[in-house]
Amino acid sequence: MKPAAALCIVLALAVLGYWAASGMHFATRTELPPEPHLSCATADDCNIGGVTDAACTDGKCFDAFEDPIAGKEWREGFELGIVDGAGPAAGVLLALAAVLFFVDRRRRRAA
Amino acid sequence: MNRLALAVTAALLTAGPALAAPKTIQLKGQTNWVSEAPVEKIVGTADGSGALVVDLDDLTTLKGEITFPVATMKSGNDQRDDHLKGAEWLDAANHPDIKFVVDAVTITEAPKGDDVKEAAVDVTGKFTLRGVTTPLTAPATLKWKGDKVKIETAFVVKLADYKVAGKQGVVGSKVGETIDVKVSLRGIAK
Repeated sequence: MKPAAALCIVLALAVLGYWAASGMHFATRTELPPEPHLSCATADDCNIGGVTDAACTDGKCFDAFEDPIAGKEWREGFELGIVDGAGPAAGVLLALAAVLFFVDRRRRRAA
Repeated sequence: MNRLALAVTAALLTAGPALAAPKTIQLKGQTNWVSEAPVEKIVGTADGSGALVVDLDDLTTLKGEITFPVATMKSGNDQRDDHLKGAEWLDAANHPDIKFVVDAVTITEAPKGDDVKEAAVDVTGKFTLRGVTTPLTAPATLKWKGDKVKIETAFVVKLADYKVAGKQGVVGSKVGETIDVKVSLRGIAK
């Protein structure tokens, strides 16, 4: 029982550590904001959201005014939040560890 | 008679810029919005589109409407996006669009440039959010090159002004009392 409880604590700490290391976000994001300066392979990649005559220069999109073009599509990505991800997960693991410690203690006393 | 016709023709030619017809610009682009609160910073986007009518030789003629559909608002968290569009917040079912109707323009920096022209203006109009309309003046930059036009503006929306209350205690802690909005729209004048 004790090793399992210890494992739960380690896992809870790992979840909280990952959350802290990944930026300590409040809520989880399953997509990341569009690129502030859109990447491209050809000019066609840049013709989005009202842009019709973009240029692709050094892999980045520029409009007719030579201003950077921001992306429109949200990107694949994941940011773990505390309120709807790391917090509940760590909470469940710590609760499980507490239950396992309690059961272990009762068993030892009974024995 | 010939002299009169010549004089009229000359007058019309010299008055060319003053008689230039306003053009309609169908605009499309993106809006970025940021809510900064003590607990959380939320970054989001929304589509923007609309039509402006303007004589580029006289920017004070600019009028039109820009629409931001609430359904296109995203913040990277599906649950939060659903709440955002729900009745407690922006109530997309009853108020599907956020609108900015431009009534007047004041030039703050006269047009400059040759190939690409650029001017700074203050855009005044009516901003409608969640069915509440208030006056709004926002600084904007207008760029044009031939018939290609770009307009960028930034303004602040105070949620309380539009009766966006959300869940009790959330505005001011997890959601900012004000939302910073940046709009970038492009189009072709026709």
